[in-house]
Amino acid sequence: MDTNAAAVIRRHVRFGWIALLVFLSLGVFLEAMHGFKVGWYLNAGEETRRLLLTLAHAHGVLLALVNLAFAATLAIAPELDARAVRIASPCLAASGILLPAGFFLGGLVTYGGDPGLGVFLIPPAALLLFAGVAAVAFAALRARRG
Amino acid sequence: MPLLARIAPTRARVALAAIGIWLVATAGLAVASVRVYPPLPAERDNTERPVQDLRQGYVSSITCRGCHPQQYATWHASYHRTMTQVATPETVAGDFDDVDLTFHGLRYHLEKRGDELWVGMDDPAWSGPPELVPWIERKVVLSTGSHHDQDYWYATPGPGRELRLLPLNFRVQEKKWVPFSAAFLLPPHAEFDYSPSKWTQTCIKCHSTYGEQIVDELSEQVDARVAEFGIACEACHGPAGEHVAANRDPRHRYPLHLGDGDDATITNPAKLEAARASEVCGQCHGQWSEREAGTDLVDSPERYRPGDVLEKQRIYQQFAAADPSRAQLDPQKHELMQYLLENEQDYLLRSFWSDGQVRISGREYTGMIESPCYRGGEFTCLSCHSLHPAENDPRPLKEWANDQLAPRMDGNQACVQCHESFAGAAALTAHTHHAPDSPGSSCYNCHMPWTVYGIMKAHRSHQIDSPTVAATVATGRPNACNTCHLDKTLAWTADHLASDFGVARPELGADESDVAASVLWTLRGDAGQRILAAAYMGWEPAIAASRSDWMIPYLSQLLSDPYDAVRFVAGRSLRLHPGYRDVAYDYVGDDAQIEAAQADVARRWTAAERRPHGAAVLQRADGGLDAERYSHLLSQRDQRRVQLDE
Repeated sequence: MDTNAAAVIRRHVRFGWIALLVFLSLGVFLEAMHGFKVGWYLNAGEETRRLLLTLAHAHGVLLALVNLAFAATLAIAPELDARAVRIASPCLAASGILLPAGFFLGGLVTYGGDPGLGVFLIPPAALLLFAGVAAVAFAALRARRG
Repeated sequence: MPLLARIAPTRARVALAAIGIWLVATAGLAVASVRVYPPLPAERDNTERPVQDLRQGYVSSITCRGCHPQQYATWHASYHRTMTQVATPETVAGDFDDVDLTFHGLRYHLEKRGDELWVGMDDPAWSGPPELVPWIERKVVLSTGSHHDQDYWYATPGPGRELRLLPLNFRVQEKKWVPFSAAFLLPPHAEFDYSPSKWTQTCIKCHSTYGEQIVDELSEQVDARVAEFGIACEACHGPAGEHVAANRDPRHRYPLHLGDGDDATITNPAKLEAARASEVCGQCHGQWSEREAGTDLVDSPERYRPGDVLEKQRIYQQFAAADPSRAQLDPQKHELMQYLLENEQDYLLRSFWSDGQVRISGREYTGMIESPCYRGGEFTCLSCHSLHPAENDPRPLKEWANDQLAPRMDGNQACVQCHESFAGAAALTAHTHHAPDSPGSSCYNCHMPWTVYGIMKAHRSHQIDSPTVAATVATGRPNACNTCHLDKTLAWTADHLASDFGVARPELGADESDVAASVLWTLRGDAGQRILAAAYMGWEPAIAASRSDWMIPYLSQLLSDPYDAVRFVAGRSLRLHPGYRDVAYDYVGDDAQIEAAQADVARRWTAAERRPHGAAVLQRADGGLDAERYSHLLSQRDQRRVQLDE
């Protein structure tokens, strides 16, 4: 394993575990709002906020795991195309921040059934995630064939 | 070799194809999801009752819910929503668990058959010999109301979707079935209109959203459809189809969120000019005639929709419009009111006091537009009421739903938001001549007194005015002072109004000078006055201001009143007095039961310690009742038949 690959793995391990901690904590916070019946979160008119914050929690945790899986993939399959790794790494890291952040910010301020402006982070974040996953997937395919 | 095969190996092509399919499928679903309205329950095939049919740009409250969850939730908690419901075990308040009832010689059996509700009964439409009345079984399909009471409609056999009214009413709070006629202020043995077209001609107008009546000219078969049962979002905001279409596009929505929110594709009553805003409520909470017969129930561009000028299609009945000075203002309205006042006094007195003030509930707009506050040009229903309480409103929705008042509008804040000079305690006391925190300093109690009757209770008048004894003498309508000071005479009130407010003192007869006004209304008054007097005798501020024990004989007397509704209100008020809470009394019970209840009340009153109140309440020096004068006043009772068309 070359030095660059090891650095990428360490970076995604750090990112993945920290993100997992942050977004699991968000889950605990959301549960606490249920427990204490916080109207800001639970009132009948706050369906959008509830949905968006739940999505922030779920996507944050999921993408943390994806980043950890990416680090594990690099460790298990060091033959992955370096160019694909250079594309995937920033894409997965950025989407791991932007996607849950978009849901979170979209849920902080809502307009009735519409999320706040933060929700506009989600489409680019989704494209980054898609690009990152596609790069790894194709690299894995090529590596196997090679 | 094809280009794709050259640049991508087989597995990659499979993966690309899968991704392509996924993208196309996702895009297709996204497009499909924004183009399809959520379907209402399968309605078109229902032949038993009027159906919900989304036409003319109506989309239903379910569609509004997605973008306006807070507004939907508050509406959902309101009694507007449940004004008309498809009858199911979940929506009916009444007991349908194999209940057998007999009222006025007719038998009823109420039962559930799976998810259906059925009534078996002696045919209420039978006009032949009573001993031959057939037993019929009908499916109950719709209900009306859910707050105080609930009425039911059953399907009729044969073509068309005509309904008949079940001659039973379920009192929600008392959890009790009563005859339908006993839920209204009707003369004893009055013929009530149970005709099959009642719902499709009348109730549909205001107990549903955008009702339409369709009459087949050949067969004369009547059909009816509504946009939605109950008073739903589009009853006040108008058809929302254009609004929904425009706001599918986030480029339309987000500028509205970030700007002033004014969306020209929908009517928001809160943003209409004052008169138009109140008319949204007035489309139902008023007393009107159509300018052209039938236009209330026919789809046409002329038909009123929220935001329109209401009186373009309708005439709201105002006595003052008959005045010659108003002839040019609205000639059709002037002629109609002249005609009604000259030829239809009986009809008018079912809704109005003789001076034109509204006396039945549900006509608040008609009262309000006669108020000086309204004529100021800024006052609207929304000055005091809120149809969608804010998220931070501390009141539970169930409490708000009772009268849908805006926060703090249950007290003087409602008036001092404009009449600021009365905000301070000193100024208030100087004006009211009562302690600032007493009911006598409540703006509502003096300027919106309880002179309106409906749904078995007294309501506040929405014609804001000031009390005068002259109006009481002329119309019989209780004045605000004597709704609370029940032990005082009209002369006492006239003296105080003259000395404190400079109100001219009218000529008063002997009884009005030395007998308490409430005693006169109870003994001598007509049924409309008696029922209000009975309600006042159960009103906490009046009990506190007038002391209560002297009221018992009067309430007891009303327990056997010939009018069902008067008996009901008297029984309810009686039970609010200490020592009488557990009196066994059924207002629709037989004569023997009612006499037993009165005897029980008499025993308790005789045994109780009584405080001196004086001759105004016909009390002798020894504390007993002046039976001679009592009987004399009772013999003068106004026996005219009173029917209030709430």
